[in-house]
Amino acid sequence: MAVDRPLGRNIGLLPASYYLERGPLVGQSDDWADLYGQYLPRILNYVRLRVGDEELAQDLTAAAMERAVSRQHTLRRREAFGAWLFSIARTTVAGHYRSRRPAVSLEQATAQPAPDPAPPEAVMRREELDRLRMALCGLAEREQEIIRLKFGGALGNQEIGQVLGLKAGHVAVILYRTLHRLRDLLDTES
Amino acid sequence: MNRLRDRSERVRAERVAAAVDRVLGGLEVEPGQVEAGDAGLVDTARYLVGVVQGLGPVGLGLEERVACARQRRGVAEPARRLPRLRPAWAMAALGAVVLAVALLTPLGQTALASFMAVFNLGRTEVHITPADLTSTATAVAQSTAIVGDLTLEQAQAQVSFAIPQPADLPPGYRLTGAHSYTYPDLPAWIPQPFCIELVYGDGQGHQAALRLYPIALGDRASISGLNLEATPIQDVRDVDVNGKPGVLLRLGDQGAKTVWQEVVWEQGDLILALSAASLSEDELMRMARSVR
Repeated sequence: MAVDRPLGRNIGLLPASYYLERGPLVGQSDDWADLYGQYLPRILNYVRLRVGDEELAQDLTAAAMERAVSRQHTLRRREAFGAWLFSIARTTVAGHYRSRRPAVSLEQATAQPAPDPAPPEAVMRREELDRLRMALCGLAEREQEIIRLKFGGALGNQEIGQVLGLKAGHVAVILYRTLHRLRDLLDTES
Repeated sequence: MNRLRDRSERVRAERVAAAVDRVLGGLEVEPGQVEAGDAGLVDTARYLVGVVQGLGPVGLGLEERVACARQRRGVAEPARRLPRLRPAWAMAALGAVVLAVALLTPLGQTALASFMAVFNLGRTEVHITPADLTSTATAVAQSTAIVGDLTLEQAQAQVSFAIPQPADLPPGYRLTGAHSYTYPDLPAWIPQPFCIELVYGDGQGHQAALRLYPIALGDRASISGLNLEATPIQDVRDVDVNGKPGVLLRLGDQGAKTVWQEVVWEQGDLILALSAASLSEDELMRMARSVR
């Protein structure tokens, strides 16, 4: 039982009613390069979950980062950097799909043999990614996106909410339902 | 009935979300953190994290491409935008005029002093503003913290710093509990629990709470400020805690029988906040100065 204030208000859930400033939490470093560097692997993993091809994922990640650098003046609050960067990455990937139709379907792509012989571990990892991407296809687009942002981008619910225009609590509920559904889909896959 | 079900699902969802963030942060999920029926979701989360980790690190080629893009642009800071008249700026200008007028009159100065205060503790600042927390729901609804009941040993095992304790306790007081505060909405790379609370009591309903916040948030960020919203504020002033600047806040209506007091200061890499309703200022400050 947390301590209550004697003013008739139970604020035990709030540590002494401190509203932690979210602003300074994201990247205290003054060096923007560090900030981009921190987010680069997360953006890449998010894009990897969206597109199956590693080379394409790297190209789109580079394009998203370049676009972010060129549009940095549109970042209004530095503390919103994560949500802003992921929004750009989403737009970049969506733009790629709009500009060119995929030559093969996901099912066809996953059925194609790898062009170069790869080590067995890499093949297994590839298969796991394909299995996950197939399972994700069974989810609604918004649910897929929350999974990608959460596990690929390692974003908190607050940031995911900023990217998708949802409240953090709503993100938590959707994530909860989606994990249930995804577990079933993965079980079916296996 | 539906509302109850929704609330129950929301609670379960937030617990699962907190567990997922622990998995993402490479931390163990505590037993009982999620309900038994949701345990499989944590396994699913571990599977997803494993798949993503298996994708491998960023290649040197991609890093160089991004670095080159930055160099080409030569962006060090966001480009300055030309000022445009916006409603928000107009309001800010109006606010500045009101503030200036307030500062020029004794009555305004008094009102301002009770309205807002900023205290620099060294590495961090404490912002104190009056808040209209007239209902429990308002206060709790803004919280995203998950509070865990722990022993001192369990609390120590969850944090990377040595938990300090007051050596000088008021008569009859002893440690009665420890709590962890986890914020599931924070990014996964921020170490959790975010805050540890130690509660001391005399067994007769009188309590004091010592809250510990690590200033550094992993190796990426740190806390630079705390917002303290409170009402009604009786008094806020600077205090000295073992040579360190601190702030002492007194809450409660003038003439109220019980006054809540809180002292906040930095000690090493921690922000400490000691609060109590039933201690005198001397007792509270003595307790604060004995924290080692």
